Amino acid sequence: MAVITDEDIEALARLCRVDLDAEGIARGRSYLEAIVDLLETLQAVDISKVHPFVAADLVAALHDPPGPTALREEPPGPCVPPAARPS
Amino acid sequence: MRAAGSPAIMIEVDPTPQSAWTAWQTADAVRRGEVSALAMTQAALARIAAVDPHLHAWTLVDEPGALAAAREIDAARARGASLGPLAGVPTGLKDNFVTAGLETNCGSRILQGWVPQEDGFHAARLRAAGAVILGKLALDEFGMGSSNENTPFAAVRNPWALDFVPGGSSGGSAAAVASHTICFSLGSDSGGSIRQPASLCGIVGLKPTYGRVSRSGLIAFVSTLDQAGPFTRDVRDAALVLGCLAGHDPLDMNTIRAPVPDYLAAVARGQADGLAGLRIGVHHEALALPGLDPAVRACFEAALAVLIAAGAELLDVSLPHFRHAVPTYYALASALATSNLARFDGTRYGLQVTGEDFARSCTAARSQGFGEEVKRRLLLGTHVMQARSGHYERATRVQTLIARDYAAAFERCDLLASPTTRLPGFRLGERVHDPVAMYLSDIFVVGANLAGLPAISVPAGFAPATDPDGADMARPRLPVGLHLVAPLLAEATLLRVAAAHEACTAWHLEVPPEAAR
Amino acid sequence: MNMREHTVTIGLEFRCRLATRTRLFSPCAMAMSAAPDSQVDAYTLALPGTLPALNRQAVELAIRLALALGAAIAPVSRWVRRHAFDPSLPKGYQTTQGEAPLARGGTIEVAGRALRLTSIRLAEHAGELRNGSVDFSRAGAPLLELAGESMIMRAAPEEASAYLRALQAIVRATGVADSDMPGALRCDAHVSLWPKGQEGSGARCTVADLGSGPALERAIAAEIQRQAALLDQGLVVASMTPEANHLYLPEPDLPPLRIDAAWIERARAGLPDPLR
Repeated sequence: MAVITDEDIEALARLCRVDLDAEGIARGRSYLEAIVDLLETLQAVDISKVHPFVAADLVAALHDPPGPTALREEPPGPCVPPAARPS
Repeated sequence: MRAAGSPAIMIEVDPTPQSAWTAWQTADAVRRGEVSALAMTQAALARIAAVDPHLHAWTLVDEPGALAAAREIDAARARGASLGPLAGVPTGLKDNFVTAGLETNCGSRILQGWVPQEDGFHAARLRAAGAVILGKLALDEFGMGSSNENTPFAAVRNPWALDFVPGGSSGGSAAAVASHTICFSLGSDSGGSIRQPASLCGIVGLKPTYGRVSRSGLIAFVSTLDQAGPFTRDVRDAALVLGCLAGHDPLDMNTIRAPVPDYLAAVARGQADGLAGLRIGVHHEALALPGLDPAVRACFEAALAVLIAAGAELLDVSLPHFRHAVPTYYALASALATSNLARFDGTRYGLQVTGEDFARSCTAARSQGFGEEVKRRLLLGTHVMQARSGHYERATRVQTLIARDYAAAFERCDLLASPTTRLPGFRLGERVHDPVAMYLSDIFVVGANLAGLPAISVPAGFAPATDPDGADMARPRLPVGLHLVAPLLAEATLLRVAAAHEACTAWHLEVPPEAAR
Repeated sequence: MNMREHTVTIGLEFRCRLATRTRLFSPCAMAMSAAPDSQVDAYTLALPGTLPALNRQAVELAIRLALALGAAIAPVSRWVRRHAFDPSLPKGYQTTQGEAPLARGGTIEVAGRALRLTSIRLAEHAGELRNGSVDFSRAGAPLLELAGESMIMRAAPEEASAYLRALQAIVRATGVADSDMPGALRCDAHVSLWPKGQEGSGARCTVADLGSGPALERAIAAEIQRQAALLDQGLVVASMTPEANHLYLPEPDLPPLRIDAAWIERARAGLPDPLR
């Protein structure tokens, strides 16, 4: 069972910029304990010889005809007109 | 070829009621001048007015915009211009698609009031194809949920039984199509968010290969898994809409640069030629899953019998890391969502709170603007992102193993089949207090996202609702979905098999009580 | 002067704003005039639904400068999101390169001494805070970040500014940045002092964002004096570096940047003769 304290929840809440009241902290803690237990089941998987999955590599491998993913060429494109900018 | 013994049901164009028309039937009729885009649009608006007060699928209906778009289609036809493949077809988009002039708030107070200036990729493609956008459809806030209950707005109801959820996160998109208010809709699927609600609402829901459809204009949730796709009432429509969306987009560097096959031809082939020579894998981990509803299982076995009768061969395969898919998904989803939601700081759009300084106004906006499930996932995502937890890195490695399992399975078979969900739909409020139990209900659908594979849910029968904890409650008849997963970019195979199944069954023609109003 | 009693160690980091017409990840032109916010696009403002599209010319210029410095270009480099809630970062993170940078190695040479570079990364420029509001006119401009090894500098302020001037000359010769633009090349110096002949090492204190040789010299000299005064009084120098507790995530929207040998050779061929 994952050990998560109220202080852990408060620290996480500060990092993601949300304020939690006492009830929110308690609920956050019981949630995190349950879900972290679920995530920790992954520790049983042997990943020693496995690379991280990279979605962009999957995409690049499917280009037909094969070739690198094209980068953007320079000509300046349209910009948001001044009226579109938030004040 | 048609399966022996199974009645072949061919859909004929039946002029009444028009609300039951599919997108291809509607577009054909509009192109031939048998019905005007305006009449179709007016009829759809009238149905929304009649049906949606019970369903809450729509978050915004743009009547003037829709009528104007419909008149333009009719005017284009009148001057002899060629009409697009979705000419005059009423539609709606999940409210995480950016739409010009239509408030796009992602089901969140933090984006309430944000009206984009320009269409995103999907709205632009649909309009270019002639579709008439009626408005926006409800979702779980930022796509986080499987029931559509995670919203500050009204929870969407299932058209088959109003006290049941439509599924999520694209619940509004599913309910709007199932209730015949529109022919098709767009949803997005990061961990089953198209296929699970399609199953619960008894319609077709397709998630393409990762990178087949652009994500530009789709508000990011789990960037490495997000894909847009259609909800439709038949397989041919799914092929039609996918054809309008698929292809390379320079605005999304993760789109695949490859020719788009003729998906409609794949559907026609499935309808006409059956499935001789096709190998369908059933991974035994799916059927061994505890808690698989017996009636759902019976529907699944009946669907397999239909595929066998159509000529397919069945194979037992294994996905050894199947049970790790849900925790892997939640590690990735929470971290990427936390990252993608960092831009909502209350200074540039949506909810703005004036505080003494940036830090305070940012925290105030996020605290007021995000709902409970979003805050939970932010806590989790922040924990997962901390390097010392190691969760994110580990999850991306397990993801590789899950993708390898599928690749190995596809060396032996052409397609994988399973039920879409373990249980038929559940009641509103039934699972809100146990989010982790809710997460585990995604077990059949998340694997395809993790491996980037295309997948579809198609109607495959009905099952009585489960009776929670022996409570003596009414057990209405709810739809059950057949879930098919194909190799990367093999959408055509997926559509072919789904079409063959549909040609031999009538589940997709059943009309929910809410659509019969 | 305290230089006799203390060993001065300095780590230099340079940021070069590459002279592209459009931003690193969006096709919006950068304002050339000082008119704040004269043009800005949806991606730069981090509007929902926008995605990055990497500017090829920015990579081209980065390769050119890295080669001119003798660095080794990585065949594959990767992007990360470096998170911080800050009004100058509309996305809530800066897209930069992490443990797999564009290039490693390379040197800046000055009168027989060489500053060895550890890593060269591409990153996007943040917005700039002016009078309480954020100016996005240069937000998202491509930056090349060059990190140097910490080294003992006997003639500290002058030696450091000599490296900056030498880099300025290379930037000018390669044409990768508009060296007439104020702020096109900026420098941070991580300064630490320690009594000579004693075991141990000093705390690192950073003087940041200096745009010219004289400014760098003045800032380093002042920092040396400050630390020396503390040490002379037997006080402890507290470390002052802006390294906050950032969260990082691999950037999911950008493919790994692959630079093949042919591209490197083309870029090398385009360099002025003495720099090839």
